[in-house]
Amino acid sequence: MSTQSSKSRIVLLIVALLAIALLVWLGLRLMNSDGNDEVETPATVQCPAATPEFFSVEPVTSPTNDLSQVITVDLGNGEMITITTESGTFTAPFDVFPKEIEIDLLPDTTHNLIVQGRVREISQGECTYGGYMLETTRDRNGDPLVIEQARP
Amino acid sequence: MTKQKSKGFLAGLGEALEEGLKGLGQSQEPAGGRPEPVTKRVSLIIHNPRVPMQGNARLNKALGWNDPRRLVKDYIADMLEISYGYITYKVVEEIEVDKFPRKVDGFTYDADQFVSAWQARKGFHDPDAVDYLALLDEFRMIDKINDDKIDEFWLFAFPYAGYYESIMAGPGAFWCNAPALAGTDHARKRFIIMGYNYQRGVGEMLENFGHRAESIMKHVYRHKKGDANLWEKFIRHEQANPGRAEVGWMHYAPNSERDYDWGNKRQVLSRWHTWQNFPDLDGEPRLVDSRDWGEGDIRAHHKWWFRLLPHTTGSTGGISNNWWEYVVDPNTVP
Repeated sequence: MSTQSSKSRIVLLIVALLAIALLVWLGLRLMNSDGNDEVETPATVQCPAATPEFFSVEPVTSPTNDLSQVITVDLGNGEMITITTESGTFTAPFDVFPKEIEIDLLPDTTHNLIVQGRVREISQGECTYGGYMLETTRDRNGDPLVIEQARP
Repeated sequence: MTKQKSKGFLAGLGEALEEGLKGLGQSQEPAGGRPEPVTKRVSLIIHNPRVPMQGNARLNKALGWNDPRRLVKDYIADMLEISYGYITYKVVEEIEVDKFPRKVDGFTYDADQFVSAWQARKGFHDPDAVDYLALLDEFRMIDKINDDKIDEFWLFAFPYAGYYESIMAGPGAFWCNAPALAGTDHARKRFIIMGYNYQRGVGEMLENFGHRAESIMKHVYRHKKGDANLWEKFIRHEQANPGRAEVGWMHYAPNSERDYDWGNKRQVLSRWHTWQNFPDLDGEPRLVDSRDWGEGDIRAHHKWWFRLLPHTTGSTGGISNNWWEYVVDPNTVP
Protein backbone atom coordinates (compact mmCIF):
# COMPACT_ATOMS: atom_id res chain seq x y z
CA MET A 1 0.00 0.00 0.00
CA SER A 2 2.73 2.41 1.00
CA THR A 3 4.84 1.20 -2.00
CA GLN A 4 1.92 1.88 -4.33
CA SER A 5 1.44 5.28 -2.78
CA SER A 6 5.10 6.20 -3.19
CA LYS A 7 5.03 4.99 -6.85
CA SER A 8 2.00 7.14 -7.48
CA ARG A 9 3.77 10.11 -5.92
CA ILE A 10 6.82 9.54 -8.17
CA VAL A 11 4.61 9.31 -11.28
CA LEU A 12 2.77 12.45 -10.24
CA LEU A 13 6.08 14.22 -9.63
CA ILE A 14 7.38 13.24 -13.09
CA VAL A 15 4.15 14.39 -14.73
CA ALA A 16 4.31 17.66 -12.81
CA LEU A 17 7.96 18.21 -13.83
CA LEU A 18 7.15 17.48 -17.46
CA ALA A 19 4.22 19.90 -17.33
CA ILE A 20 6.42 22.61 -15.81
CA ALA A 21 9.10 22.04 -18.46
CA LEU A 22 6.47 22.27 -21.21
CA LEU A 23 5.05 25.49 -19.77
CA VAL A 24 8.53 27.02 -19.40
CA TRP A 25 9.36 26.12 -23.02
CA LEU A 26 6.11 27.65 -24.28
CA GLY A 27 6.65 30.69 -22.09
CA LEU A 28 10.15 31.27 -23.43
CA ARG A 29 8.92 30.99 -27.00
CA LEU A 30 6.27 33.58 -26.30
CA MET A 31 8.76 35.81 -24.52
CA ASN A 32 10.88 35.97 -27.62
CA SER A 33 7.99 37.57 -29.46
CA ASP A 34 6.92 39.67 -26.45
CA GLY A 35 3.68 37.71 -26.41
CA ASN A 36 2.48 39.74 -29.37
CA ASP A 37 1.58 38.68 -32.87
CA GLU A 38 4.57 37.73 -34.92
CA VAL A 39 4.21 38.98 -38.45
CA GLU A 40 6.27 37.71 -41.31
CA THR A 41 6.22 40.27 -44.05
CA PRO A 42 7.08 39.47 -47.62
CA ALA A 43 10.68 40.22 -48.57
CA THR A 44 11.06 43.75 -49.91
CA VAL A 45 13.98 45.39 -51.61
CA GLN A 46 16.32 46.91 -49.06
CA CYS A 47 18.25 49.93 -50.25
CA PRO A 48 21.35 51.30 -48.55
CA ALA A 49 20.84 54.73 -46.99
CA ALA A 50 23.13 57.31 -48.56
CA THR A 51 24.97 60.35 -47.27
CA PRO A 52 23.89 63.65 -48.79
CA GLU A 53 25.65 64.80 -51.93
CA PHE A 54 28.54 67.23 -51.73
CA PHE A 55 27.18 70.80 -51.48
CA SER A 56 29.43 73.80 -51.09
CA VAL A 57 29.22 77.57 -51.51
CA GLU A 58 32.33 79.71 -51.89
CA PRO A 59 32.76 82.65 -49.47
CA VAL A 60 30.97 85.85 -50.52
CA THR A 61 32.44 89.34 -50.69
CA SER A 62 31.17 91.62 -47.95
CA PRO A 63 30.91 94.54 -47.57
CA THR A 64 30.62 95.60 -51.18
CA ASN A 65 29.72 98.69 -53.19
CA ASP A 66 28.55 96.60 -56.11
CA LEU A 67 24.90 96.10 -56.93
CA SER A 68 25.42 92.50 -57.96
CA GLN A 69 27.63 89.59 -57.02
CA VAL A 70 28.49 86.21 -58.46
CA ILE A 71 27.87 83.31 -56.09
CA THR A 72 29.78 80.10 -56.74
CA VAL A 73 28.09 76.83 -55.83
CA ASP A 74 29.14 73.20 -56.22
CA LEU A 75 26.77 70.26 -55.84
CA GLY A 76 27.16 66.55 -56.47
CA ASN A 77 24.67 65.32 -59.09
CA GLY A 78 23.25 68.83 -59.14
CA GLU A 79 20.12 69.69 -61.05
CA MET A 80 19.10 73.20 -59.96
CA ILE A 81 20.38 75.98 -57.71
CA THR A 82 18.17 78.58 -56.04
CA ILE A 83 19.39 81.55 -54.03
CA THR A 84 16.88 83.42 -51.94
CA THR A 85 17.78 86.74 -50.39
CA GLU A 86 16.40 90.21 -49.66
CA SER A 87 16.76 91.26 -53.29
CA GLY A 88 14.80 88.33 -54.71
CA THR A 89 15.03 84.70 -55.73
CA PHE A 90 17.57 83.61 -58.33
CA THR A 91 17.32 80.19 -59.92
CA ALA A 92 19.58 78.53 -62.46
CA PRO A 93 20.12 75.00 -63.74
CA PHE A 94 23.25 73.28 -62.49
CA ASP A 95 24.61 72.82 -66.00
CA VAL A 96 28.27 73.56 -65.31
CA PHE A 97 30.33 73.13 -62.20
CA PRO A 98 30.99 74.85 -60.12
CA LYS A 99 27.94 76.92 -60.99
CA GLU A 100 28.27 80.70 -60.93
CA ILE A 101 25.04 82.58 -60.34
CA GLU A 102 24.83 86.34 -60.45
CA ILE A 103 22.46 87.88 -57.93
CA ASP A 104 21.29 91.49 -57.64
CA LEU A 105 21.93 93.43 -54.46
CA LEU A 106 19.76 96.18 -53.00
CA PRO A 107 21.49 99.40 -51.98
CA ASP A 108 22.27 99.86 -48.30
CA THR A 109 20.87 96.46 -47.49
CA THR A 110 22.09 93.42 -45.61
CA HIS A 111 21.52 90.31 -47.70
CA ASN A 112 21.10 87.00 -45.92
CA LEU A 113 21.51 84.26 -48.50
CA ILE A 114 19.75 80.92 -48.42
CA VAL A 115 21.25 78.65 -51.05
CA GLN A 116 19.33 75.57 -52.12
CA GLY A 117 20.52 72.83 -54.40
CA ARG A 118 18.30 70.21 -55.94
CA VAL A 119 19.97 66.84 -56.43
CA ARG A 120 19.07 64.90 -59.54
CA GLU A 121 17.13 61.69 -59.01
CA ILE A 122 18.91 58.57 -60.16
CA SER A 123 18.16 54.86 -60.07
CA GLN A 124 20.57 52.12 -59.10
CA GLY A 125 18.93 48.79 -59.70
CA GLU A 126 15.69 48.85 -57.77
CA CYS A 127 16.81 51.70 -55.52
CA THR A 128 16.22 55.38 -56.16
CA TYR A 129 18.51 58.10 -54.86
CA GLY A 130 18.60 61.87 -55.08
CA GLY A 131 15.49 63.91 -55.85
CA TYR A 132 15.98 65.93 -52.67
CA MET A 133 16.88 69.49 -51.81
CA LEU A 134 19.91 70.58 -49.79
CA GLU A 135 19.99 73.98 -48.18
CA THR A 136 22.67 76.10 -46.52
CA THR A 137 23.16 79.57 -45.12
CA ARG A 138 26.92 79.09 -44.69
CA ASP A 139 29.94 78.95 -46.97
CA ARG A 140 32.43 76.10 -47.20
CA ASN A 141 34.32 77.52 -44.21
CA GLY A 142 31.21 77.62 -42.08
CA ASP A 143 30.84 81.40 -42.22
CA PRO A 144 27.39 82.96 -42.75
CA LEU A 145 26.43 83.86 -46.31
CA VAL A 146 25.74 87.52 -45.58
CA ILE A 147 26.50 90.40 -47.95
CA GLU A 148 26.40 93.99 -46.75
CA GLN A 149 25.76 96.36 -49.63
CA ALA A 150 26.85 99.93 -48.93
CA ARG A 151 26.72 102.80 -51.42
CA PRO A 152 30.15 104.03 -52.44
CA MET B 1 2.12 35.76 -44.81
CA THR B 2 1.02 36.22 -41.22
CA LYS B 3 1.63 33.93 -38.31
CA GLN B 4 -0.68 34.32 -35.35
CA LYS B 5 0.23 33.24 -31.86
CA SER B 6 -2.41 32.41 -29.28
CA LYS B 7 -2.73 34.73 -26.30
CA GLY B 8 -4.26 34.36 -22.85
CA PHE B 9 -2.75 32.12 -20.20
CA LEU B 10 0.36 31.21 -22.16
CA ALA B 11 0.99 34.82 -23.17
CA GLY B 12 0.61 35.80 -19.55
CA LEU B 13 3.03 33.09 -18.54
CA GLY B 14 5.50 34.38 -21.15
CA GLU B 15 5.22 37.91 -19.82
CA ALA B 16 5.64 36.75 -16.24
CA LEU B 17 8.72 34.76 -17.20
CA GLU B 18 10.11 37.73 -19.10
CA GLU B 19 9.58 40.05 -16.17
CA GLY B 20 11.23 37.53 -13.89
CA LEU B 21 14.23 37.17 -16.17
CA LYS B 22 14.47 40.95 -16.60
CA GLY B 23 14.51 41.28 -12.85
CA LEU B 24 17.26 38.71 -12.64
CA GLY B 25 19.29 40.52 -15.29
CA GLN B 26 18.95 43.83 -13.52
CA SER B 27 19.95 42.41 -10.22
CA GLN B 28 23.11 40.94 -11.75
CA GLU B 29 24.09 44.16 -13.55
CA PRO B 30 22.58 47.31 -12.07
CA ALA B 31 21.34 49.90 -14.53
CA GLY B 32 22.86 53.35 -14.62
CA GLY B 33 26.54 52.42 -14.36
CA ARG B 34 29.27 53.08 -16.86
CA PRO B 35 30.00 50.16 -19.20
CA GLU B 36 33.54 48.85 -19.31
CA PRO B 37 35.33 50.65 -22.19
CA VAL B 38 36.48 48.64 -25.20
CA THR B 39 39.26 49.05 -27.75
CA LYS B 40 38.87 47.84 -31.33
CA ARG B 41 41.77 47.29 -33.69
CA VAL B 42 41.41 48.81 -37.13
CA SER B 43 43.13 48.06 -40.40
CA LEU B 44 43.11 51.30 -42.38
CA ILE B 45 43.37 50.80 -46.15
CA ILE B 46 43.68 54.01 -48.16
CA HIS B 47 43.35 53.85 -51.90
CA ASN B 48 45.16 57.03 -52.88
CA PRO B 49 46.95 56.51 -56.18
CA ARG B 50 49.53 58.85 -57.66
CA VAL B 51 48.35 60.95 -60.61
CA PRO B 52 50.93 61.26 -63.46
CA MET B 53 49.18 64.24 -65.09
CA GLN B 54 49.38 66.08 -61.77
CA GLY B 55 53.10 65.62 -61.18
CA ASN B 56 52.60 62.24 -59.48
CA ALA B 57 50.76 63.88 -56.59
CA ARG B 58 48.51 61.63 -54.55
CA LEU B 59 44.90 61.76 -55.71
CA ASN B 60 43.63 63.58 -52.61
CA LYS B 61 46.23 66.33 -53.07
CA ALA B 62 45.81 66.52 -56.83
CA LEU B 63 42.11 67.25 -56.42
CA GLY B 64 42.29 69.33 -53.25
CA TRP B 65 40.57 66.80 -51.06
CA ASN B 66 41.06 66.03 -47.38
CA ASP B 67 43.93 64.24 -45.72
CA PRO B 68 42.49 60.84 -44.75
CA ARG B 69 44.80 60.51 -41.74
CA ARG B 70 43.57 63.80 -40.35
CA LEU B 71 39.97 62.67 -40.87
CA VAL B 72 40.66 59.39 -39.09
CA LYS B 73 42.26 61.17 -36.14
CA ASP B 74 39.31 63.54 -35.71
CA TYR B 75 36.77 60.77 -36.24
CA ILE B 76 38.36 58.52 -33.60
CA ALA B 77 38.30 61.46 -31.17
CA ASP B 78 34.64 62.09 -31.94
CA MET B 79 33.76 58.43 -31.41
CA LEU B 80 35.46 58.38 -28.03
CA GLU B 81 33.65 61.56 -27.02
CA ILE B 82 30.15 60.66 -28.20
CA SER B 83 30.29 57.16 -26.73
CA TYR B 84 31.18 58.66 -23.33
CA GLY B 85 34.59 57.01 -23.43
CA TYR B 86 33.25 53.56 -24.36
CA ILE B 87 34.89 52.98 -27.75
CA THR B 88 38.53 53.57 -28.56
CA TYR B 89 39.37 52.76 -32.15
CA LYS B 90 43.04 52.05 -32.63
CA VAL B 91 44.59 51.92 -36.09
CA VAL B 92 47.04 49.03 -35.80
CA GLU B 93 47.71 48.68 -39.51
CA GLU B 94 47.81 51.31 -42.25
CA ILE B 95 48.14 50.49 -45.92
CA GLU B 96 48.28 53.19 -48.57
CA VAL B 97 47.57 51.72 -51.98
CA ASP B 98 48.98 53.29 -55.13
CA LYS B 99 46.19 52.08 -57.39
CA PHE B 100 42.42 52.05 -57.78
CA PRO B 101 40.37 49.18 -56.39
CA ARG B 102 38.97 46.69 -58.88
CA LYS B 103 35.30 46.98 -59.79
CA VAL B 104 32.99 44.00 -59.61
CA ASP B 105 33.29 43.45 -63.38
CA GLY B 106 37.09 43.54 -63.26
CA PHE B 107 37.48 47.15 -64.43
CA THR B 108 40.15 49.32 -62.80
CA TYR B 109 40.61 53.05 -63.40
CA ASP B 110 43.98 54.46 -64.16
CA ALA B 111 44.69 57.71 -62.36
CA ASP B 112 44.68 60.09 -65.33
CA GLN B 113 41.48 58.55 -66.64
CA PHE B 114 39.77 59.01 -63.28
CA VAL B 115 40.91 62.62 -62.89
CA SER B 116 39.63 63.42 -66.40
CA ALA B 117 36.26 61.88 -65.54
CA TRP B 118 36.15 63.85 -62.31
CA GLN B 119 36.97 67.10 -64.04
CA ALA B 120 34.22 66.45 -66.59
CA ARG B 121 31.91 64.94 -63.96
CA LYS B 122 31.05 62.25 -66.43
CA GLY B 123 32.51 59.07 -67.82
CA PHE B 124 32.54 57.18 -64.53
CA HIS B 125 32.53 53.44 -64.84
CA ASP B 126 29.28 51.51 -64.61
CA PRO B 127 28.89 49.24 -62.65
CA ASP B 128 30.38 51.33 -59.87
CA ALA B 129 30.45 48.58 -57.22
CA VAL B 130 33.83 47.39 -56.00
CA ASP B 131 34.87 43.72 -55.96
CA TYR B 132 34.79 42.97 -52.23
CA LEU B 133 36.01 39.44 -52.63
CA ALA B 134 39.11 40.78 -54.36
CA LEU B 135 39.68 43.19 -51.47
CA LEU B 136 39.23 40.37 -48.95
CA ASP B 137 41.81 38.36 -50.79
CA GLU B 138 44.31 41.16 -51.47
CA PHE B 139 44.39 42.37 -47.88
CA ARG B 140 43.99 38.91 -46.28
CA MET B 141 41.08 40.23 -44.30
CA ILE B 142 39.68 36.91 -43.15
CA ASP B 143 43.10 35.66 -42.07
CA LYS B 144 43.56 38.80 -39.97
CA ILE B 145 40.16 38.28 -38.37
CA ASN B 146 40.81 34.60 -37.75
CA ASP B 147 44.26 35.32 -36.32
CA ASP B 148 42.64 37.86 -33.99
CA LYS B 149 44.84 40.66 -35.30
CA ILE B 150 42.10 43.00 -36.52
CA ASP B 151 38.52 43.75 -35.45
CA GLU B 152 37.37 45.82 -38.42
CA PHE B 153 38.55 47.34 -41.69
CA TRP B 154 38.26 50.96 -42.76
CA LEU B 155 38.52 51.50 -46.48
CA PHE B 156 39.24 55.07 -47.52
CA ALA B 157 38.93 56.30 -51.07
CA PHE B 158 37.58 58.86 -53.50
CA PRO B 159 34.06 59.49 -54.87
CA TYR B 160 32.84 56.70 -57.15
CA ALA B 161 35.13 54.18 -55.46
CA GLY B 162 32.17 51.81 -55.31
CA TYR B 163 32.30 51.05 -51.60
CA TYR B 164 29.29 50.52 -49.41
CA GLU B 165 29.36 52.85 -46.41
CA SER B 166 29.46 49.70 -44.32
CA ILE B 167 29.08 46.01 -45.00
CA MET B 168 29.12 43.03 -42.66
CA ALA B 169 30.93 39.77 -43.32
CA GLY B 170 31.41 36.47 -41.52
CA PRO B 171 29.09 33.75 -40.23
CA GLY B 172 25.57 34.99 -39.57
CA ALA B 173 26.31 38.42 -41.05
CA PHE B 174 23.21 40.52 -41.60
CA TRP B 175 22.20 43.74 -43.32
CA CYS B 176 24.52 46.58 -42.31
CA ASN B 177 23.41 49.31 -44.70
CA ALA B 178 24.37 46.77 -47.35
CA PRO B 179 23.60 43.11 -47.96
CA ALA B 180 25.67 40.67 -45.91
CA LEU B 181 28.89 39.91 -47.78
CA ALA B 182 28.46 36.46 -49.32
CA GLY B 183 31.30 33.97 -49.38
CA THR B 184 32.68 34.87 -45.96
CA ASP B 185 31.06 32.22 -43.75
CA HIS B 186 34.43 30.61 -43.14
CA ALA B 187 35.57 33.55 -41.02
CA ARG B 188 35.63 32.82 -37.29
CA LYS B 189 33.36 35.75 -36.46
CA ARG B 190 31.39 38.60 -37.94
CA PHE B 191 33.25 41.75 -38.90
CA ILE B 192 32.50 45.05 -40.58
CA ILE B 193 34.21 46.78 -43.47
CA MET B 194 33.58 50.52 -43.47
CA GLY B 195 33.84 52.60 -46.64
CA TYR B 196 34.85 56.24 -46.22
CA ASN B 197 35.49 59.02 -48.70
CA TYR B 198 38.27 61.57 -48.26
CA GLN B 199 36.50 64.10 -50.45
CA ARG B 200 34.04 64.47 -47.55
CA GLY B 201 34.43 65.33 -43.87
CA VAL B 202 34.14 63.82 -40.42
CA GLY B 203 30.39 64.55 -40.44
CA GLU B 204 29.92 62.17 -43.36
CA MET B 205 32.09 59.54 -41.64
CA LEU B 206 29.79 59.77 -38.63
CA GLU B 207 26.84 59.37 -40.97
CA ASN B 208 28.39 56.17 -42.38
CA PHE B 209 28.71 54.86 -38.85
CA GLY B 210 25.20 56.08 -38.03
CA HIS B 211 23.67 54.00 -40.80
CA ARG B 212 25.63 51.03 -39.50
CA ALA B 213 24.17 51.71 -36.05
CA GLU B 214 20.66 51.97 -37.48
CA SER B 215 20.96 48.65 -39.31
CA ILE B 216 22.35 46.84 -36.29
CA MET B 217 19.86 48.24 -33.78
CA LYS B 218 16.95 47.44 -36.09
CA HIS B 219 18.24 43.88 -36.18
CA VAL B 220 18.72 43.74 -32.40
CA TYR B 221 15.09 44.74 -31.88
CA ARG B 222 13.70 42.64 -34.74
CA HIS B 223 11.60 40.45 -32.44
CA LYS B 224 10.23 43.30 -30.34
CA LYS B 225 6.85 44.66 -31.23
CA GLY B 226 4.89 47.71 -30.17
CA ASP B 227 6.08 49.60 -27.10
CA ALA B 228 8.74 46.95 -26.42
CA ASN B 229 10.61 48.06 -29.52
CA LEU B 230 12.64 50.90 -28.06
CA TRP B 231 14.60 51.33 -31.26
CA GLU B 232 11.44 52.17 -33.20
CA LYS B 233 10.61 54.62 -30.45
CA PHE B 234 14.08 56.22 -30.52
CA ILE B 235 13.93 56.99 -34.26
CA ARG B 236 10.48 58.60 -34.26
CA HIS B 237 10.33 62.06 -35.82
CA GLU B 238 7.53 64.52 -36.46
CA GLN B 239 7.22 63.89 -40.18
CA ALA B 240 6.49 60.17 -39.76
CA ASN B 241 4.93 60.25 -36.26
CA PRO B 242 3.13 63.58 -35.80
CA GLY B 243 3.05 64.64 -32.15
CA ARG B 244 5.23 61.68 -31.08
CA ALA B 245 8.74 62.75 -32.03
CA GLU B 246 11.65 61.38 -30.03
CA VAL B 247 15.24 61.58 -31.39
CA GLY B 248 14.88 60.69 -35.07
CA TRP B 249 17.49 59.00 -37.22
CA MET B 250 20.49 60.04 -39.30
CA HIS B 251 18.50 61.74 -42.05
CA TYR B 252 15.69 63.10 -39.92
CA ALA B 253 16.07 65.25 -36.81
CA PRO B 254 12.89 65.45 -34.70
CA ASN B 255 11.50 68.33 -36.80
CA SER B 256 12.91 67.51 -40.26
CA GLU B 257 10.55 67.72 -43.20
CA ARG B 258 12.82 65.90 -45.66
CA ASP B 259 16.05 63.92 -45.73
CA TYR B 260 19.14 65.76 -44.40
CA ASP B 261 16.98 68.63 -43.15
CA TRP B 262 19.00 69.24 -39.97
CA GLY B 263 18.69 73.04 -40.11
CA ASN B 264 14.91 73.27 -39.94
CA LYS B 265 13.80 76.05 -37.60
CA ARG B 266 10.18 74.97 -37.10
CA GLN B 267 9.31 74.02 -33.57
CA VAL B 268 7.82 70.61 -32.80
CA LEU B 269 7.18 68.65 -29.64
CA SER B 270 9.81 66.01 -28.95
CA ARG B 271 10.90 63.86 -26.04
CA TRP B 272 14.52 63.58 -27.15
CA HIS B 273 15.78 64.87 -23.81
CA THR B 274 14.32 61.85 -21.99
CA TRP B 275 16.85 59.56 -23.69
CA GLN B 276 19.56 61.17 -21.62
CA ASN B 277 18.07 59.34 -18.63
CA PHE B 278 17.62 55.93 -20.25
CA PRO B 279 16.21 53.50 -19.16
CA ASP B 280 13.94 56.00 -17.40
CA LEU B 281 12.11 57.51 -20.34
CA ASP B 282 9.57 59.45 -18.34
CA GLY B 283 9.14 63.09 -19.22
CA GLU B 284 6.86 65.45 -21.04
CA PRO B 285 7.61 66.49 -24.61
CA ARG B 286 9.19 69.89 -25.17
CA LEU B 287 9.20 72.31 -28.07
CA VAL B 288 12.47 71.81 -29.93
CA ASP B 289 14.15 73.06 -33.10
CA SER B 290 17.49 72.87 -34.87
CA ARG B 291 19.23 74.97 -32.22
CA ASP B 292 19.34 71.77 -30.15
CA TRP B 293 21.45 69.89 -32.70
CA GLY B 294 23.70 72.40 -34.43
CA GLU B 295 21.41 74.35 -36.79
CA GLY B 296 22.12 72.32 -39.88
CA ASP B 297 25.72 71.24 -39.31
CA ILE B 298 25.99 67.55 -40.23
CA ARG B 299 28.72 66.73 -37.73
CA ALA B 300 26.97 68.56 -34.89
CA HIS B 301 23.68 66.80 -35.57
CA HIS B 302 25.25 63.39 -35.72
CA LYS B 303 27.27 63.90 -32.54
CA TRP B 304 24.10 65.02 -30.77
CA TRP B 305 22.28 61.92 -32.04
CA PHE B 306 25.00 59.49 -30.96
CA ARG B 307 25.19 61.01 -27.50
CA LEU B 308 21.55 60.03 -27.02
CA LEU B 309 22.08 56.34 -27.78
CA PRO B 310 21.57 54.42 -24.53
CA HIS B 311 24.98 53.94 -22.93
CA THR B 312 24.57 52.55 -19.43
CA THR B 313 24.89 49.15 -17.78
CA GLY B 314 21.99 46.79 -17.23
CA SER B 315 19.40 45.52 -19.67
CA THR B 316 15.80 46.19 -20.59
CA GLY B 317 13.61 43.45 -22.02
CA GLY B 318 16.67 41.24 -22.47
CA ILE B 319 18.53 43.88 -24.51
CA SER B 320 21.59 45.68 -23.22
CA ASN B 321 21.13 49.26 -22.02
CA ASN B 322 24.40 49.99 -23.78
CA TRP B 323 23.49 50.01 -27.48
CA TRP B 324 27.10 50.80 -28.35
CA GLU B 325 27.93 47.24 -27.43
CA TYR B 326 25.99 45.94 -30.44
CA VAL B 327 26.95 48.73 -32.80
CA VAL B 328 30.65 48.35 -32.13
CA ASP B 329 30.75 44.55 -32.11
CA PRO B 330 28.22 42.70 -34.29
CA ASN B 331 29.22 39.45 -32.60
CA THR B 332 27.30 40.56 -29.52
CA VAL B 333 24.05 40.64 -31.51
CA PRO B 334 22.03 37.49 -30.84
